[in-house]
Amino acid sequence: MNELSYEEALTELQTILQDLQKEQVSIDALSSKSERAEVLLAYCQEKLRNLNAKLAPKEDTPSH
Amino acid sequence: MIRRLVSTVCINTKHYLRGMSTYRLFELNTYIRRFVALNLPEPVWVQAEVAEADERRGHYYLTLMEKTEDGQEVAAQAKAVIWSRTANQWQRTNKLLLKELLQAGREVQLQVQVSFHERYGMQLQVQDLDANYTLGVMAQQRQRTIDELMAAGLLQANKMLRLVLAPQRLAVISSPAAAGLQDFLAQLRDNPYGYDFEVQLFPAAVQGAQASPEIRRQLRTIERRRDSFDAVVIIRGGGARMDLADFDEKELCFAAAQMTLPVISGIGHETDQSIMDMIAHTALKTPTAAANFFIDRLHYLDQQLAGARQTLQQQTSQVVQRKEFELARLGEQLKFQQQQFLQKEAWKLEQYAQQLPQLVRQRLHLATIELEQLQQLHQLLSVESQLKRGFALLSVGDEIIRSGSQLEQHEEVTLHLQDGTTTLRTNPPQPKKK
Repeated sequence: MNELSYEEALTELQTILQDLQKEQVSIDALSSKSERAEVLLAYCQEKLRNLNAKLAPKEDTPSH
Repeated sequence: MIRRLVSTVCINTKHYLRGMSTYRLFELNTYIRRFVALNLPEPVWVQAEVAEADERRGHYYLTLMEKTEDGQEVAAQAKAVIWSRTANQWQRTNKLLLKELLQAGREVQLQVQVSFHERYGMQLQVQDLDANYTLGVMAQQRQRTIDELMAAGLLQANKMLRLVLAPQRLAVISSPAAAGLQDFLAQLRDNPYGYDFEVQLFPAAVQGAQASPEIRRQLRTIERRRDSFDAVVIIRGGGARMDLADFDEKELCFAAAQMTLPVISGIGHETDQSIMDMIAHTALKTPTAAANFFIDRLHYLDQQLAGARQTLQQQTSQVVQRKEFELARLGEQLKFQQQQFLQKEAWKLEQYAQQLPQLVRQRLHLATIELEQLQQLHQLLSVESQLKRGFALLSVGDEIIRSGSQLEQHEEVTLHLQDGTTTLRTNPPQPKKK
């Protein structure tokens, strides 16, 4: 999972969601797909949070 | 005065004139001596030009002359002497030096006692000298020279020349023995800023009759090598007032005024200005002041450069500051864009997060409906429902009997009805009758 890029994770997530919408997910796979989608979501959100912290840390720290 | 003199001579000659006699030379000269003594018993004032002047052991030996009106020939000439006692007394009284006043070419007005010596001839013994007359004539000559320079457009010519910003290559005209030259060189050498000057000395007399020709010769030499120098400096130590007249000399001033290099004069006089000073590019009162002029000029340039350097630094740092500000603004923009982007992305994820359970639920719901439908179908197709509808089912054990040939193999089969089962005996098949 660590080697997955944000883009890759997002693309996979979007594919799962599309498959769900098109009802192309088998019930057997539903649970694992759903779990996988949640993991991908969390992964992407974590990446965004890290980026936020890295790019905008100066506003929070005192400047002197 | 001349007229009165002539009439006196006429009165006294008649006693001694005897025609047709022959005299010994001494007799003649004695006669002349007595004649002179009798006719010129009192000192007389006489005006003349000094042709030569020579000082030996305090006595001044002069050759006086007067030129014809066209100035081409000598009309009259006489020897004169100022004995040292007279000379010293005169110098004390007038606070002037005879050596300076009595130079070749000067107009003088002398009070002389005319004497005649049998062996040495006529001599004018000077009793007094009218300095104001000489000075007046000199002043007139001086004014004439100034007028001529002005008419020739040379009074300002040298001032119009551009002196380089950092004049360091100096052609110095001076007498190697002059104290003023040493002052000048020492001042340049010991300048507090450590500026280098390249000084070349062009030796020349800077006072007396030789000054003009010698300085002019050196001016010509320098003019030929003008590219090697930034300026000409004429240096002389402090002198008496009369000495200054050497630098009023017409030909010298014309030569200096026509130089194509700026002429800087340091001919050392606090109160009076020579014509040389007037035509010079810059006139300084003393050789030391002349040296300071060059030092100050370099120092001024130095300061200008320092100022320019400071301005440059200020402007450079201003540019850097402005660029830094621009960068900072770009950085802010970048941060803003990044945040926007991240927010958009986060929003997308949030939507996905909301969609996910919904989609999963939908999928499950769909599957449930499918299942239900299958269940219904299953129920529809189940054995019980068929029996209810009046159909019966035959089986042997678990095997369902579907054909007659199957039935022929068994003697007993189970009949399934809606409300239970019963065992049926089958008629074994009859052997075939022929």
